Amino acid sequence: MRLFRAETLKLRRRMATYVILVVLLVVVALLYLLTAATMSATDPVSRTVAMQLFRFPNAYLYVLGFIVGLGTLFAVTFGAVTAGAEWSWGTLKVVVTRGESRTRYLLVKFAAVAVFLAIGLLIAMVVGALLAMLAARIAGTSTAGAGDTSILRPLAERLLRSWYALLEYAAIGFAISAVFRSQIAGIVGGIALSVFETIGALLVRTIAPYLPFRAASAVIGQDLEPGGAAASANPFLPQPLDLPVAVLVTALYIVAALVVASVVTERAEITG
Amino acid sequence: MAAAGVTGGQEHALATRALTKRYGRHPALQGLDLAVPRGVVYGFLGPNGAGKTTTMRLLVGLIRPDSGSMEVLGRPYHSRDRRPLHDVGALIETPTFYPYLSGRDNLRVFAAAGAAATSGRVEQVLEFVGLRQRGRDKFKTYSLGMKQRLGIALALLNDPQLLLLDEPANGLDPAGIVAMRETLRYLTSRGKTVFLSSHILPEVEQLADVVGIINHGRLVREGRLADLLEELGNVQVRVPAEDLGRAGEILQGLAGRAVDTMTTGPYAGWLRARVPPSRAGEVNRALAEAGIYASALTAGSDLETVFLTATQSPGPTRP
Repeated sequence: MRLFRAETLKLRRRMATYVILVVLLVVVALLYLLTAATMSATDPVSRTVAMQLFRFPNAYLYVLGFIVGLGTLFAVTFGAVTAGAEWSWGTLKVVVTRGESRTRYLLVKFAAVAVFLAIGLLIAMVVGALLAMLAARIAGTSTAGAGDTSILRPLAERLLRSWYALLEYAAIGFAISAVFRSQIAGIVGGIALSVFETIGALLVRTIAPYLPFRAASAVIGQDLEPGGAAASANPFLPQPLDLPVAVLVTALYIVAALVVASVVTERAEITG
Repeated sequence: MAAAGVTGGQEHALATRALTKRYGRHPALQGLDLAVPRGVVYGFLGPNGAGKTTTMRLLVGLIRPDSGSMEVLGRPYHSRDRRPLHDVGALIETPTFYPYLSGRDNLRVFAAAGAAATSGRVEQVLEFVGLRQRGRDKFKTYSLGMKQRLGIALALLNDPQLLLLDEPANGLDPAGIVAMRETLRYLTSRGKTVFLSSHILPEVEQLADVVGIINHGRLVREGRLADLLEELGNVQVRVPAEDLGRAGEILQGLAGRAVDTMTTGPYAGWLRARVPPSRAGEVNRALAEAGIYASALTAGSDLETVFLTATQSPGPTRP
């Protein structure tokens, strides 16, 4: 428990933790505020679509969709900088010389990442909802449905599913950083994997739904992603996995990422 | 209770047997046998590339040996069981910390790894190394000497029985070096063992009780410092120029080996014989009996001489 507390202290005090969250929120804010500000200048069809973003209580789900859609890269980055920094700063060396188990250290570190992802997701959700209300006011739309409690249960479930998916993205960044002993490698590698997977999904349709980012995306649910309905109807894209299968496959990827990170770190010769 | 094995039944603070390590084709350690007694400062010396850092890294589990065994505080130590390190404090190479955390927070987070540090220990060690007033400042704002002191504080965090220090005087100012020396003496007076790797031979000479010299991955000399200094001591005499030849023959007879005539430095023109300092009187008497009266005589030796003598032998030939 004291190791977990130490890990949370490190994440709490680290600027990167806040920078990642702030950048995410700034992008969400820009999306909402620009959409609201330019709505009057768009054609009626686009305006009707855009209005959906501000119509509560469903606006909550759109907010979450935006956060999670953008959050893929941010989660990869968060996982990567958390694991990679230990190599960049040479602090893993100190931990090992104190007789700590490398595997235990990594797993506890990832547990702290998981907790901070959950907190970050909740903060982003609250700020995103406030931004959506502000945008609705700018667009001249009513926010009457904002207090509708019927959305709480599905929203809570989808928050949980989103966190689970983000956990997989973070685990991928975490593992790549641990393997290559570099924060940058984790960020670039994770993003590259995501891009290659998108291209690969078009080419290898049979296994595409089982690829890590698509499996996690299936956990979140297509209906949460802006344009998701259109995407699932797109005949060129493979159908996503059913939720139970997607949950299982995502769990396997999380475990695999942590096993790879642990084995590589356990075997690593620390000479720097 | 004594542990059998590497130490042959006698419990040492640290022992290795036939420890080997290669980096690719380069042999870094070639069967290193160390035996560090408890409660001493052990000076671990060697030229650059001799294998000192590799040994340190092996001892704290940063790398794995290719073969051989290690014992720490009488317990077998290997990569699968790092618990013996809970009683060890280490400062290996440059001290590394989280730059964005304060000195105090750095110690707190590292105190959570490995052996548990007692409550209030962080403040104790900060006080001990003189960093309590700067404990709230971020590590990245520390000077080199402060970073080194924080590294020493970290090594002391779990009140270890054995301290492994790699160049601990790096970056310390003269006052810091004196303080470190006093700290290490204080620790050994409490029964702790210090394994000290350093390039600063006068520093080691002032501190070490036992010295081990490594060269080409092998221990080439080990023993109590006082014994090594005695064994490799010199007697230097200044005699009239016309007596140099006869005096040289007498000294050669006493030393059992050739005598040097020093050509440079403050002792230019003096004769130097490899004779234990304790035999200086005998040298003086032999010269006087031959009618040669030395105008000056010095006796002694230093660690530098011991070090150079031990490491000047050629290394193993490579295939």
